Amino acid sequence: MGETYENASDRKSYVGTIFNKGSDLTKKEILDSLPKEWSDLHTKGYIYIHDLNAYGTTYNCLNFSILNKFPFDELNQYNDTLKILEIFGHFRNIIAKMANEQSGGMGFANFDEDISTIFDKLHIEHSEKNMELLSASILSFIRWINGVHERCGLTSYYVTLNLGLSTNTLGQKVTEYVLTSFRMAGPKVFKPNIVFKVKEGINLKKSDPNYYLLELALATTCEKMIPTYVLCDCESNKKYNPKNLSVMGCRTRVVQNIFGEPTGIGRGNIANITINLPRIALDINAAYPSVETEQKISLFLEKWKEIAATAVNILLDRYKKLISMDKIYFPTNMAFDLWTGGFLAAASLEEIFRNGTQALGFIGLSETIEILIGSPYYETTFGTELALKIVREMRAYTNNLINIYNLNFSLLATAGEQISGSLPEKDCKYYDHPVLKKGFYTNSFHVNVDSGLTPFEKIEKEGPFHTLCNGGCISYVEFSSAPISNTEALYELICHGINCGIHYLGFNFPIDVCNKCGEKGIFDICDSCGSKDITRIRRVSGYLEILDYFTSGKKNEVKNRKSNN
Amino acid sequence: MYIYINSIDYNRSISDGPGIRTVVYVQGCTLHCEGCHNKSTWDTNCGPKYDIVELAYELKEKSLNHKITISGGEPLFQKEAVISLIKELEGCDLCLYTSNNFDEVPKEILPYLHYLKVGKYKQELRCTTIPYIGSRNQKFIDLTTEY
Repeated sequence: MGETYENASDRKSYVGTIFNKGSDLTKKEILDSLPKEWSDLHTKGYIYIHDLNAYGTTYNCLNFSILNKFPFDELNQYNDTLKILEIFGHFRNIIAKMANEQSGGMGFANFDEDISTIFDKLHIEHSEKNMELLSASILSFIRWINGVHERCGLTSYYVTLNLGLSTNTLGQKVTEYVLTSFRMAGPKVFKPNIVFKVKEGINLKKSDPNYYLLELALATTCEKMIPTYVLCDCESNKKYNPKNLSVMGCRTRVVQNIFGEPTGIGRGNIANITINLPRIALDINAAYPSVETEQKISLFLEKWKEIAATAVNILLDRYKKLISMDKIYFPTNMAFDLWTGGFLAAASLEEIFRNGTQALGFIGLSETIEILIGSPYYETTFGTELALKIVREMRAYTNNLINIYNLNFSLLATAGEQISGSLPEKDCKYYDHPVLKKGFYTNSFHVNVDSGLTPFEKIEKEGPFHTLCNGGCISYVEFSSAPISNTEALYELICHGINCGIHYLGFNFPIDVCNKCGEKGIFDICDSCGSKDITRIRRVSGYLEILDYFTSGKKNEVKNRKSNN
Repeated sequence: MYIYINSIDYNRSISDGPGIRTVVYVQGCTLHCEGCHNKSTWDTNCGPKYDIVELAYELKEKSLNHKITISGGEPLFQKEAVISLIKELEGCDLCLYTSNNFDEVPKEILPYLHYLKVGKYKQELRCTTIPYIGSRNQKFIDLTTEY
C-alpha cells in the first residue's frame, strides 16, 4: 500500500481529504501566529505540540460523567425494550457528538456500574428477555465502535470502556457480556479498548466476588490482546478509590485535582506537549564531546528545563485561549454535563477546564541514555539510576508547575504514534548516530522492543517509571505468539506488575487472520486453507489496528519487536 | 549422577505448560521427527554435562516461580538421569514433555509431576490452536485432575 497515514485508525475518503486540508492549513496558521521561538521548537523537532489543529479551540480527552445528566425522565416514559435500545442510542449519540467537540479519546470510567445504575433508575426489570437484549445491545455497540470511520470523515472513535469492579448482579453481567461479546465477535473486531480494573478484595483473589470475571478477562486477552489491565493496588494507585481510576485514549491517566477530589471521572487532559529527549542528548553530545558523564547529565537536564519552560508557556497560552472560548462550541458538554464542575451553570469555561490537566510528555528515554552513556538504560545499574534520575527531575518539575500556576500539570509517558518516526527523521538531518538507524524512537520509558528481557525483567525495569509518570503510561509484555489459554501466565505477570509498581499493563502478540477461512495464527500462507490473503493485526499506541495502516515509525518498530518469551 | 543438557531458558516460556515457565532442554533424541523445532538436541553425545544435584539447585535458584518444564530432545533418552533430576526438583511445579505414550512413562515419576505432555510430534498433524501441544495426536495432561 503506497498511501501514508497519520494514525493507523485513519482511512481515506472525500470528507477526510477535505478535513485534512483544513487541518493542515489550520496547523500552519497556528504555527505562524505563535512567537517564532515557540514554533521553531515544534518545527525543528525539539517538541511536538499534539493536536495542533485544536490549539486554543478545544481540549484533548475526557472520561464522561455519563450519569450527570443522563436523560432519565425522557427514557422513563418508554417500555423496557425501548429503554435499553435508547441507553445505547444515547451512548452512540454522545460519542459521535463529542468527537466534534474535542480532539482526543473518550472514556467510560465504570461501564459496568454505570449501566446497572441506569437500569435501576429506569426501573428496568432484570428479566431473561431484557438480559438478552442488553447482551445484544452491548455486542451491537462494540461492533459499531469497531466499524465506523466517520469521525472527521476518516477515523474511528477512540473509546475506552473501563470495567471489572461492579459487584452487583447486573454490573457483573455487563462485564461478562462485554468480554464475551468482544471475544466471540471474531479477530477483526478489535475496538473499543477495554480496560479491566484489577483490585484485591473485588477480583484479584480466588475468594473475591469478581474473580471469575478476571479469569474471563484473561481468557479474552489470551485470544485478542484486549482487555488491558489497570492495577488498582500498585504504588501510585493504591491510595485512590479504584472507581475513580480510569484510562482513556491510549494511556491518559487523570487523578489528582487541586480543585476537587482525586478522580478521573468528568475530567481529562487539556493538552499535551512531548519533548524529544534524544534530540537534547544529541545536542549535548555534540556541544560538549569531552565532558564527564555526570556533567553531561546536568547539561542535559538544564537544556530540558529550558525547553520545558517554553513548552509550558505554550500550554498556558493554549489554555488561556481555550477558556476564553464561547460555551456554544461545547453544546454536548453543556447538554449532558459530561465534565465535572457544572458546565451550564459555570460562569466561565475556566471553572470547567481548570479541572483538566496539562501534560508534559517525553519520548525515547532508552535512546537518550544510549546517546549519553553508550548503552540503553536497562543494561546497567548506572544507566537505570540515570534514567530514573532524569524522570524524577521531570516529575519534580511538573509538580512544581502546579504550585506556580495553580493548575493541574502531569508527566505523561508518550507513545508517540506519529512522532516515533517523524522525530528521528528530523534528527537525522542534524546528526548521525547509531540510535537513528532503526527509524523510530522507543515509546516513553520503555526498554528497547528487542531488549530480549524476560517478561518478569521487563516489568521490573519499567515499574518504577509508572510511579513517576502520573499523567499516564503503559507497559507491554511482548509474546511471540498468542498465549493460547495460558491465563495463568498473564495472572502471574499481573501480580508481579502490582508488586513492581506497574499501573497499567498490556500483552502484545501478533495476530494474523486468514481472510478466506478465518483461521488465526502467525503465517504468510494460511495454515488451514493455504490462502495468501492475510490481515495482520498488531497493537499500535495502545489500540489494535491492521498493520498496513501503521505510520512509518510504528511499522519500523514492529519490524524490530522481539518477544519477551 | 550427571545429565547432558542442551540449554535452559529461564522464566520466559508461555507455550510449554501453564504459567511463565523455565524450560530445560535435555540433550539427545533418536526419533528425528520431521519438522522438529530443536534439531540441535538430536546429537546424543554432546552438550554441557551437569551434576544433577547442582543443576536442581541452580534451577530452583533461578526460576522465579519454580514452574519448570523438562523438554528436549527426548528427556527419557537419559531416563535414569531425568528421573533423578525430577526427584531432586520435588516441590517445584513440574512438567515433562516426552514423545512416549502415557503407558511408557516411568510410573515412579508421576507423583512428582503436575503436567505431562505425551505423544510423538507428527508434522502432518501440526496444530497451533490447541494449548501446549505441537500436533493433534499429542496429549497435554494435568496429572492432578486427570489421574
